[in-house]
Amino acid sequence: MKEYELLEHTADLKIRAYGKDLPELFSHALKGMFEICRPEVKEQSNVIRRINVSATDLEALLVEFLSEALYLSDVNNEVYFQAEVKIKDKDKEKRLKGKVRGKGIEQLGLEIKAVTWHDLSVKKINNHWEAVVLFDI
Amino acid sequence: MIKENFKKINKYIWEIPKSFRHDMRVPARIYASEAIWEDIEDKSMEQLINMATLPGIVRYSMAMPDAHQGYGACIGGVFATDISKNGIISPGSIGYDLNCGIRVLSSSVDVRSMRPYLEKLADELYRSIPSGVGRGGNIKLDKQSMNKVLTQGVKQVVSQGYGIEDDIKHCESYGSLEQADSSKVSDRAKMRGRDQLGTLGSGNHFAEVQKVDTIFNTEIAEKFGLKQGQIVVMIHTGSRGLGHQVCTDWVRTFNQKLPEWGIKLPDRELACAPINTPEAQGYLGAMSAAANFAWSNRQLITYLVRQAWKRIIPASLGHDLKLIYDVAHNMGKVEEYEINGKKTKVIVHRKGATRAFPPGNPELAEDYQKTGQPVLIPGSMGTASYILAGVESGEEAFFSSCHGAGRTMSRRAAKRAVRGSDLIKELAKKGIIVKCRSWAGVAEEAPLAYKDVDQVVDVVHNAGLAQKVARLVPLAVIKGE
Repeated sequence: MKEYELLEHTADLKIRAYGKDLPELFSHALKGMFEICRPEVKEQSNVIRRINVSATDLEALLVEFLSEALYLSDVNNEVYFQAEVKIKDKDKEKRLKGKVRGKGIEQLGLEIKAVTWHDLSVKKINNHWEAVVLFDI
Repeated sequence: MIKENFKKINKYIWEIPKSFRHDMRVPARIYASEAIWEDIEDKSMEQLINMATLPGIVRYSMAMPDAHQGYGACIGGVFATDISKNGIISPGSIGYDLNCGIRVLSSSVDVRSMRPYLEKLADELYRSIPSGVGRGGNIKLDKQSMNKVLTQGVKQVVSQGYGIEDDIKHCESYGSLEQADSSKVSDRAKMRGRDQLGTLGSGNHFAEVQKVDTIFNTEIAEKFGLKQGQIVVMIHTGSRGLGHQVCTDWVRTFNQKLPEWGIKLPDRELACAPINTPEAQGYLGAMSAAANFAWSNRQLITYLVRQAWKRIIPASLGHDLKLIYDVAHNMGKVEEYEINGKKTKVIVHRKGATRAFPPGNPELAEDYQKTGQPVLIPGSMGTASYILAGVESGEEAFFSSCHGAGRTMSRRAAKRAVRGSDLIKELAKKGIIVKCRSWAGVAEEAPLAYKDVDQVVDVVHNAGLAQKVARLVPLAVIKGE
């Protein structure tokens, strides 16, 4: 199974991420988001950041998670490629807790302005999960 | 196909009636020529129709000829909501890059005198203006200075020595929105912005050295300080991470409150708040503060451009770089129009659309009272840009114009179609220098990924949205990333 793929959009960048479960799906979406940015990483600089977000549905939880990672990336000059998170998927309350791993950066080739809610989806299809998310460039 | 349901109502307007979809409150319109209409994507028209469902919308939801698909509202989208009827304000219909915009500086140097210095000037500008992407810029704001910038905008940075008094009067809204409320800008947004003042960003953001190629209206051009063969500098950037975070914060807040307000939307990105709610007022304060930050950002870059210019261009040729104008193209503004025979205060949402006030508008500085507002339209990389002037007939579109050429091709398709290094060689043959940090970034912004700006601007001119004053062509492009 692919981790993620780029989808067509005239102006911005859209990805479809895949995962065997929700934590893997979120981790692959995170990786997709930061690989799009073409980072020039500092190889020796391993970083770990904690993330703790909640929302009322899974789509919103994905936006919250990626927006949080984008915020951490912008203020710390880092990018993250892997998430180790636990996700509580109760009826009206979705919670994500855990950490993201990545590297410090020299610079980015492309900046993502924001994670949008447009054409957003998180779905279980047979025995795996898929998510579509559009980033404002 | 949604497009099939649009009817051509005159040479430059296509319209779809509100009966097309049950949730539309007004008809939707697009300004286009036959050629432009043919290439308009169905998806952008679906977004235009979604805009027509927003509570309190008046007249039409509208798209400018540079329209293409975005998120929530389409790019090139314009609509207004009635404040007295508790109309909404929608952050996603203004954009994450709040007050992304354009400014143009005029010089006293002509293209012939510039030739020997052009390469050096391009290098110097490239060295002097940081993109800030992934590493921040050179200015660090403490908490107090940040709040002053957010509250006062360009006035504050000019008072710190980063510009001259005349710069202030040639900014839209004098580079400062009064309703700005720095307390409504989250600490996270301020944290992102603390080292981003004076940085370009990436994507289609740039600084460009251009020459005035054609003058269409001599009288207005003279008032704007433009003449044939003259060198000007154009700057395109916005509110950087600070503005992006402001929009992110408030879209979240509004999305959570929608059920309570009883608002149903066809797209969550259109999340909005009725204007008389504390949340809407909070966003208005934060958005205005982010707009002030963006104007200050373009002012700081102007300072860097002026310094670089002085280091390279001999004083005998002229060191004055005068600000012709600075205009936003992602913005929400409180303006007054006659709606159904009654003067009505509305919130005009312009997302990838430029305000274009006509002569006599009280907000314009005295020297532009007779000409109308300068309307600044950048082309795609390596192609022409335009300066237009606002006209009275633009009233129907809430005095709005296009904001650029408008994309027609995805970044991925552009990279498949052209190599960045080949493109730079091709532009060099035309005498255009491109300074950039990545080939991929250049390929993504290739002219073939955009509409023909000349055609787009002709629609704006012929449809009576603004009138052409001058055409500018690039000599040196400094790309953000």
